Amino acid sequence: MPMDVPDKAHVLATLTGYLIEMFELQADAITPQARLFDDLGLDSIDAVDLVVRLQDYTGRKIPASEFKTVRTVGDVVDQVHALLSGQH
Amino acid sequence: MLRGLGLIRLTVDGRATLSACHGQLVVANHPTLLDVVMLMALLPNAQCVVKHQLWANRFLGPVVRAAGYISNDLDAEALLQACRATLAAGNNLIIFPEGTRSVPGQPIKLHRGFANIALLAPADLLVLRIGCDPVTLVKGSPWWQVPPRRANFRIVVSELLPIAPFLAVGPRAIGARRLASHLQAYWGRYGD
Repeated sequence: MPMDVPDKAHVLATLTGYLIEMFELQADAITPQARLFDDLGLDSIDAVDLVVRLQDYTGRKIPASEFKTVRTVGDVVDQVHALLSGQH
Repeated sequence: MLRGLGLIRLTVDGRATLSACHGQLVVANHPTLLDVVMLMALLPNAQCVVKHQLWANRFLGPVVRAAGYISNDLDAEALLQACRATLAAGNNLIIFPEGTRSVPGQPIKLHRGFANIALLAPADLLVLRIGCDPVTLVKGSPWWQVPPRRANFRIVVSELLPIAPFLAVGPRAIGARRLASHLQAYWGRYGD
């Protein structure tokens, strides 16, 4: 249903909330440019947890292959937004 | 052998604790190349998680394979299973949370793989502190560069750290961060 697809700002806000809650990150560190591994200190196991959480949020399965190319917070927002808009 | 040759001197605080270990997860800082060798000698039935690059190493590859060590590039589930199985079998599992030897003078940085293993196993951690003076066989100095005087190694069995409080904080990701920063602060206090 395209009618209630959240916009990217909304996706970013949701993702920011997850990152703070799951990994105790500081809100001001979470910018679209922030790199998940280098800047925010996530590791591969954290990434799996995050994907699981995002699957709950989007209601869609996120293939690991698609998440491989993700580097920054902004990349995650784009992926999730694309999923929600049914572009994948 | 190195000790026999008088090249190094080794002091161990808590040798009896080490030799009594059974199915124990052991974590240590990793200042030198000899850490593994010495711990192997002190711990019965020692198993080790080693960086996967060593599998491809011409000299050490056959050794780590023959010893049945656990490679750190197994996928997360397989690695956890391997660690659980070896602890359950009564082996003592050594992990160096720094992942690779520390660089003298630099603050140490821990990977959280060990913390995730400890939380998911779940297993209490026997914490060791390894010191070496003067520094030898450290990262960034060639192995043939012999120290000016005999190297004194000191291994201290610091504490048996219960995993329960870190499990109690809730999500595993948070518990792993708390555990890593606890040990980072501990080893950091003794860093040079």
